[in-house]
Amino acid sequence: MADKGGLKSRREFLAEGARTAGLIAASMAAGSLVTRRAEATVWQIDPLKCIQCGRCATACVLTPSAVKCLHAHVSCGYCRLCFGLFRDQRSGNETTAENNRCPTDAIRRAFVEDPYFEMTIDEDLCIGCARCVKGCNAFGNGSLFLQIRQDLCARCNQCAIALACPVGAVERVPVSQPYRMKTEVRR
Amino acid sequence: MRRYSEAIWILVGMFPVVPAWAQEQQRQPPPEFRSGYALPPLNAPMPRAEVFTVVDLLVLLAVLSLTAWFLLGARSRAGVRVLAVFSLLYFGFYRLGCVCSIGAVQNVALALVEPGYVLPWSVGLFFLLPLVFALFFGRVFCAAACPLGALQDLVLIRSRRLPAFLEQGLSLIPYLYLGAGLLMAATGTSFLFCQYDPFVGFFRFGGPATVMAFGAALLLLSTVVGRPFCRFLCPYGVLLRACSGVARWRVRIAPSACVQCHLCADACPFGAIRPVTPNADLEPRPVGRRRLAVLILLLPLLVIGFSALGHLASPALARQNRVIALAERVWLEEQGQLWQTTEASEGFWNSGRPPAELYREALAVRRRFGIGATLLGGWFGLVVGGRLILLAMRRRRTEYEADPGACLSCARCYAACPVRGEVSISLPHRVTGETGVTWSR
Amino acid sequence: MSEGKNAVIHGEPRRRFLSSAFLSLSSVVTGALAGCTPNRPAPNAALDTEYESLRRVPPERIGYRQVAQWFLRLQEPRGIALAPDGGLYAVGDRLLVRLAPDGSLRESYSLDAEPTCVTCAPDGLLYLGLTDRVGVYTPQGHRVALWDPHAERSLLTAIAVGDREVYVADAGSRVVLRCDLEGRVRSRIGARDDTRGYSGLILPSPHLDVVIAPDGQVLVSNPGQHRIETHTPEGRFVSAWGRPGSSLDAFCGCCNPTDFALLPDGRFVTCEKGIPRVKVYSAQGVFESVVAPPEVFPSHTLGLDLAAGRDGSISVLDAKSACVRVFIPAGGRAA
Repeated sequence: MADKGGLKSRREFLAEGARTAGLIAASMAAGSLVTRRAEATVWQIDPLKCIQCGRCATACVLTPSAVKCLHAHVSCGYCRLCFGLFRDQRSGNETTAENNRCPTDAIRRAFVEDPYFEMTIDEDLCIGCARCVKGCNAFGNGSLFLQIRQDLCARCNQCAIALACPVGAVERVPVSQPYRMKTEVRR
Repeated sequence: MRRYSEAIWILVGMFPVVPAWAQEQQRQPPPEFRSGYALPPLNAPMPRAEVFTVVDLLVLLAVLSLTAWFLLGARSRAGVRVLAVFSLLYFGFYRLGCVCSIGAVQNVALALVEPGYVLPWSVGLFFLLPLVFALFFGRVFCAAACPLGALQDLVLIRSRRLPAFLEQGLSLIPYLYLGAGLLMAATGTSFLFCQYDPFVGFFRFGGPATVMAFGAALLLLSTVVGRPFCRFLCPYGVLLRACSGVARWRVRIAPSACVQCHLCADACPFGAIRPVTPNADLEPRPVGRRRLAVLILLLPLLVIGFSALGHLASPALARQNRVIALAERVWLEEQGQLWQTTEASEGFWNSGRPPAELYREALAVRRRFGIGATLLGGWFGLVVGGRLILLAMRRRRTEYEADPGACLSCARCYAACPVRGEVSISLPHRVTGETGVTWSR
Repeated sequence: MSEGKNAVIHGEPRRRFLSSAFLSLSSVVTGALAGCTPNRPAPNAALDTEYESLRRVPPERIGYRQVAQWFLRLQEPRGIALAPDGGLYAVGDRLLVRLAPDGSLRESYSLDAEPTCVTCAPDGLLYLGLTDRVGVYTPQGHRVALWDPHAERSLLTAIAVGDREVYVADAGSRVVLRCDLEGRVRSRIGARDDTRGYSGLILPSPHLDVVIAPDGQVLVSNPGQHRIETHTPEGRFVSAWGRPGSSLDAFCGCCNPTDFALLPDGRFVTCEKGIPRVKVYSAQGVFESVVAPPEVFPSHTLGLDLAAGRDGSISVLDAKSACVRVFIPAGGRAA
């Protein structure tokens, strides 16, 4: 019995040592974490890498996707025949609804002044499919671009869109700069 | 041939074949509107304020402390259940399952290896807090703070004990899963634990179909098998188990009070209470000793063998990485061995990045895979060999013992113990001695 | 449960063998699963099919064939111009390069500003758009004049040089300037004129081209209106041709053509972005044939530029491939 008691107390002693070591290691780690104060990250799309494949609409764990099309009006051409809004017009300049590219009719077209039209995105309807972005990039200035709307994003530790993106356009960005604006446009 | 050599890559780097194309160009200014039209602002709302991260941390701290108190002081299974429901609602359905200590393991691994990634302090604390609590109070995180555990615990109707070989075999998977997840995280490939989290889809009401189906099957299984994810998959559980092994305050069965009725072992859905070893099963000593000696000699061989296997498997594993897969594709296209581009390679060619730069990046990742996969193999060998040695070791138990590593602190055994006297377990004051199962040293 | 009571760890040897076998099996399965799970779903190219039919042009509509492809060794070429000797000038990467008539690289002169376009005057002088100012260079690469920028947000995209005046297309300011040979602005072309019902140059993107017609009038592209316009040198709008549409005879997208040139017989060569294609129209603006169908150019092609040779050949700058492609009429003889 005495032998067993000795065994037990030795085990207890070792456990105590392990606990103390663990606690010290944890406090050191916590200390370095708090002193470095590294910012949390969020996921965002680099619009210059985006190839508008359409996966943002389907890969997001949320339905509808947290990815929305944003419109940088500052680089918009205000085209009458906006190719973000309209599809291929073989016979000319139909601007009727059946030619709309957006599957959810989320792009609003408003007359500004001759010959300029303003496009705005109804983000409640936008599903982030990038069809309009593709059209605008191919023909126009690329003023339409996809971004992860940070107020909608679930902030998954592993973004499902980042895994699905074929070009690695979804990246971690610091939470204080959660958007990637297109400051420059393609020719 | 899907092989490429470093020397050729360096040569390629000296003579860029494909011209880079800068996509950016001076912006065309917007039209000068005569009607006084003003450009609308860009709608880009900010994410949830950082102060809420502190709230998350405080909630975690509170849940962990309260759970410890419910178990240690109040001895209340009901209290633990209420906390578990709260965690399920808060961390699960409200926070959508993300911020999570299980996933944080991967952030820690990535931050340790990748200099470009700095561990956010909040994630680091989510990783550390449950471990520190486990050092002192056992796995209180599993008891009530983890929404995944809470979900499985709440649907458990009647637990059935698994056959011993199944239990032993399955309980190795978390170690292997942990190793694989650390490798994938440290190489920046993907966060496996998050990608294949079976229950997070329930919190978000949607997810990949295969993972959702897996989660549903696991949840169904949880009705008859106690917490299958926690016991047979959870990689964070490996760390918690290690910490909980030295916990200061935890479930112990007082030998003086125990009547060896086996009711607590029956009540434990997780097989954490080890009963007295029956004499009949014991083999003659020399046989056991010989086996042990052989297994101990086998351990280094297993470690070396699995390391070699891991090293051999590293190129195949590395292909899971986006950078490596892209570099191989681009290389073959550049060599004219493949004519068609994929979306990924086309995106790369359009980016104007020189291929040599991609190859350099890929080589760095592959070097990391080479080391990581070897270590992973060694870890596999160590886990398997170590488990075999543990199985061969003969330990006689003359008393009922609660395995601190396996105990998930659910408090079910308190109610099952018949040695209660007049003291009700629901009373919120500390009880020692009167019951067989107690939370003291 | 009796199963649990007779436990567990100290099983009989057979059971222990089973358990170790299970361990190895489970580790192999886990490893294989980790190694083989596909990370990404299959590619979805549905969005590209929209223009598939337009990328393919029926062979009978193609009236030209490519006879040469000259690589420029420039990262980002911006413009080309034909030299009097049949060679070629190209600008980009702060360089002016000269190609011999056989396409071989002759000289390369460094510039102190980012060039955006180049034109070779009848007297042999080179007029370069240097983003917001005009630089005049000798054929040997010496700068003889530098004109001050006339507006803050200038982006010069084309220059046309006559005997006594220089037309400078400024896409940034949406205007074509008529200057004298010293760079003094004489008149402005392209301003909105409501009295004549002319709505001005609509340039959603930085593309504007100018060419002097044989009769002295000024031809200006108006991509936002999908047409090519004729103006008097004084800046009065005269006429226009062109219509929007994706069909071969129209200008596709929101803003095309991006560039154009005049063949020696007065016919037009145009190029478009979005669906990158080069086409020939008659002097009256009637579609004749395709020079280069979209499939000639790499995907996501950006920045085509044109030059028409005196022999009827057409040189197309394919900026993304950093090369010049030379086309001649399909029935014709190689130059």
